[in-house]
Amino acid sequence: MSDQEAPALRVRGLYKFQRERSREVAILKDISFELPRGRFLAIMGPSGSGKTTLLHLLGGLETPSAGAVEIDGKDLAGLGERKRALLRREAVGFVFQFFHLVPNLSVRENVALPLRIRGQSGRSVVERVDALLAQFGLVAQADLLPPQLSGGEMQRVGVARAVIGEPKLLLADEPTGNLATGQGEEVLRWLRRLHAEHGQSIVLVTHNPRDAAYADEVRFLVDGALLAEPRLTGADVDAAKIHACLRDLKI
Amino acid sequence: MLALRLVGAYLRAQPLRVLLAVLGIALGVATVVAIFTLDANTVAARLEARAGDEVRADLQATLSATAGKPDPESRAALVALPGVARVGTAGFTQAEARAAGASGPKAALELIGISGAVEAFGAFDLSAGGSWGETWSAPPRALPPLLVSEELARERGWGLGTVLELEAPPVSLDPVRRCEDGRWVEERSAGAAVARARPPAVVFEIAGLLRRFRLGARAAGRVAIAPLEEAARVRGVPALDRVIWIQRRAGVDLAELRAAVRAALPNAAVDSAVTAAIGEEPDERAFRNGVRVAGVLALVLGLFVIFHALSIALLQRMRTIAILIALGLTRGAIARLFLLEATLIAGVGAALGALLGLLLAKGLLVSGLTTLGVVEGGVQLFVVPWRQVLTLALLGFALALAGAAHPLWRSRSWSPDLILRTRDLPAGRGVFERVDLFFAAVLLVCIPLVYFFTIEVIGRDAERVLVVFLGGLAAFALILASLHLAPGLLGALIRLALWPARRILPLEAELVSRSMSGLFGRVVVGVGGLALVAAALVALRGMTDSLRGEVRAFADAALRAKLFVTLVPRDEQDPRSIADFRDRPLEGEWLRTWCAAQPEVVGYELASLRLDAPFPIRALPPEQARWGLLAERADLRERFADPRQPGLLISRRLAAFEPELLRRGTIALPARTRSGAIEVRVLGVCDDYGIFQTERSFGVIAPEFFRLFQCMDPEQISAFTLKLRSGAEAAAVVQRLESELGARFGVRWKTGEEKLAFELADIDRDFFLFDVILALVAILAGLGLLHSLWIAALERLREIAILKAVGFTPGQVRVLFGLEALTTGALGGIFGVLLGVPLLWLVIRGLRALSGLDLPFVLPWTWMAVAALLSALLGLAAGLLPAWRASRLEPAPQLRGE
Repeated sequence: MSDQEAPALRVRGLYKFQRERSREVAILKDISFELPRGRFLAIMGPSGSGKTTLLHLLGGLETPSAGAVEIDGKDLAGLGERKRALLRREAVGFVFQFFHLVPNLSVRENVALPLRIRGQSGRSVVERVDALLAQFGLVAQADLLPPQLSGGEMQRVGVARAVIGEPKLLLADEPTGNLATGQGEEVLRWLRRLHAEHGQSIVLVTHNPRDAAYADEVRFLVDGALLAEPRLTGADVDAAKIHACLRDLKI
Repeated sequence: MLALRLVGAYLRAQPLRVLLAVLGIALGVATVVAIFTLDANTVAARLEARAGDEVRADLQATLSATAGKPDPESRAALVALPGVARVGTAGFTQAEARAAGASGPKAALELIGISGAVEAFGAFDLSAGGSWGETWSAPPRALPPLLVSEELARERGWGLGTVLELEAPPVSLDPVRRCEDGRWVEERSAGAAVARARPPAVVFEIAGLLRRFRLGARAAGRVAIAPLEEAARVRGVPALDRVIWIQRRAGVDLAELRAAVRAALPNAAVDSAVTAAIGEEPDERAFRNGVRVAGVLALVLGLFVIFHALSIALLQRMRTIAILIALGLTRGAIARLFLLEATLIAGVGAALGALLGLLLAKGLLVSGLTTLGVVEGGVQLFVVPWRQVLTLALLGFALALAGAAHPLWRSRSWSPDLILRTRDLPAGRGVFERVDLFFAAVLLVCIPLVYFFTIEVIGRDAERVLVVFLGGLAAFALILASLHLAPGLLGALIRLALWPARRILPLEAELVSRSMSGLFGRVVVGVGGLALVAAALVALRGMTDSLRGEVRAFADAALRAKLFVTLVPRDEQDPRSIADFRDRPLEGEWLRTWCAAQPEVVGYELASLRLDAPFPIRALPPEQARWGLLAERADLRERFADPRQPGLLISRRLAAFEPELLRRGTIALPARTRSGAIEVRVLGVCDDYGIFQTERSFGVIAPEFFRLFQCMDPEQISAFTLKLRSGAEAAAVVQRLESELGARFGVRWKTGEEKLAFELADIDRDFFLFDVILALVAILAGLGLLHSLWIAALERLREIAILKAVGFTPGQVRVLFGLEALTTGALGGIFGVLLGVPLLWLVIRGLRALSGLDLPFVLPWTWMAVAALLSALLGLAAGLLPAWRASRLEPAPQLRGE
């Protein structure tokens, strides 16, 4: 299968063990799934279910104990830290719950960071950044530092930074976890627009059914295992049905 | 118990940081302990090598029997000098002794006549008879008192109260004669026969037995001590050749006292005694104090690192403090907890430092490095100056502890509520500003007090050393203050230093610039430490360059195109050859004729005619002075050559040390005439003539002076100096000389260039110790920067994780920290060079006054560049470990939000 046809993400038999005291504990067990291009997948689970660990493995920030992750047809297995960083630079965008902006850099500089890491500079970078700032309503905040922004503004900057490099895959880890309801909804609408208008492939991990309802597909992660069922797609993806699944799963 | 558990938990959790803190204190204390121990052992080793049976005095003046004033007047003149604490005189002669009324052979012995406080100089101990002072001040005795050695008394059956008759031996010493117009004449008193008859015996009573005496190893223990006048009466002369010992008062400058004594006793040869004056010559003292200043600066730097380390550690644990308060622990209890921790770290560091310092000193001594230059074969002696070692270790401990006091005091204003609410902790800039100012205050108050408590700085030294010392501290404090008071300045300098990197690594340079500009305190620690190292390197190398420049300038006048020739017996193992050499030295006429026939030879000086009092004086035939000052000034040459009123040329150093010579225009030189002295004119100053290996204070005079007033024959030559034309081949001249004289003499020679090379190498050897100290200080500075960057890495874990999440490779993370380390090093180098120049000026100024040398002040441009470069490289080296650790950071734990 050529890269053009490869799914945005393919995961096979993913395991992650962690040593606690003298024994090994399985954080993730036998995770396997595919994310077609342009798909918006939400993975739901309670606290401690391994959602963040899964996301970090998908983005190459951690290495699995077993299994394989392919991003845009490129296998992360066997890659050293440097090559994973290079792959992440080109193909992955992260949105974090705690925003994780570089505190010494302005909004403009934080958004431009991925391009500058790639070695790009000059007019093209400036224009791209300006366009995104306008798109995300951050023009007025362009020269402010992160401590001077509201939570919603910081997360918009985080999203802008994540997408400026046109990554093959966008990974969002509880992006609304530290935001007020209104701010959170605003961020999710941005994610939805990116998906709808630009065909962005997105994996969102959350414990909030309202957030998951913005996705095309919802799956559930319980005790480190990705459940085959229930699995909501299409019209079934709404908050009420998601709530019902959670009740049934007793999570 | 809780405090111990909490402290123990922290120390176990942060082993590397604790190790760095302990090492910082230990290295600082070790350096200064090593230096003071080294200095104490340097003096002790020289004392041991030279003391032997010598009397413990500061100065000694040697007077011939007829020179100058009688003993009571000489002693009175000396005691009246402000710097003199006590004076004692000893005169030496031979005698024979027998119990009064006894028959049988007499005992030959050495008779020493004493006056003044000789016993207080440790000259002798009595095993019987009480002290000499009691004996001397006792009610008038019927017979003059005599002290006799135990050994002699036992051998002859004498004891306290035994009456002895002493008289001069039948074969007297050289007859008393005087030099008059170049001829020896025997002394004649009006109407009396020549003093060849034996004077009558003098009767003494034994008043004490000598257990030990240090008045000469001669006579194999057969020694007697009598009052000086009585000893001269035994000899049958008005006075004996004598030695006067002088003890100075505490705090009196030795060189100044020596000049005053020379003025009071113009006919005496005055010099430092072999015992108490170790390392007390001005240049020696300057060297020793320079080494000790360097050591204290190392301690300062080590403590600077610790101050910040303890402050940073406390800042890191703000959250812990807030939790403890929330759980009910009082602030007092928390303060005790952190003080306990600081005490443990400081205590271990100081103890370890003292031990390391002693080991380092031992190692340096064994390798031959001392505070008075290099000693071939090393120094085996090792004594521990406990007072200084314990003082310095306690100082290190106390100041390190003070480093914990400031942040604890600052933490009173922290709000636990605020700390527990927020994820991020307040940045440390405000705390660090005050830490540096607090440290600067401690520096300027405590360090000088302790420094001057642990060393003796006397006389003119005190002011000069204080100026240099406080100048250096003030400049260091100024750097710290300016960096805090003018933050824009530091920011601008950071951007300037990063400008080259922006061309190659724009993103990394920008990130480093932001990071460094945001955390001042940390940057100041690194920059300040490296600046101190760079400044010390510039000042040290500038000083050695200046010394070398001065030696070259001196050599240009005194050594250039000269050939120093010494004649020795043809076979130094053959007694006949030795006797032949003694009886038939080289003739002056031969030398004149030979030199005139050599096209390369301009003229010559005589090195075998010599006078050593009041300073070294050598002979220069006026007609041979076809170079230098006398060649340029015919009027001077005429006055120099006047046989009836001799003229003296003095060296520049002598003129600097004793300016009154030029002001007075005359000086009394000892002579073997009836008067005992001859006044000569001081004609001028130049270094063109006369060179002595280690002595730069000397004079030259015409040979006629030696002939007329010392009865020394200038036509008998064993050593001379040839002045060659510029560009002449010395080897060719030597070859011809050897071929002419080789049948009669061994010829040893050295060129002026070889002597210059030796002098220059000597400077490098002597100052090698400073290079060792500088290396230790550099390690300390590097340690401080490493610690600082380590903390930076810990503070920026999340930032590093974010950068990795958006695609930074581990190599780029290493570049970030490496670039920051390199920039810190470069800034340290720049500040250091700026600080080093005024420091060098201060040092040169102090050395000029101390040594009397005309030291040039020349900026050591090469070393300034080297200092800046080395500082940058040292910074880079210090950043290697933190960079590596940061690059290996796992980003995921820092990014977790669940």
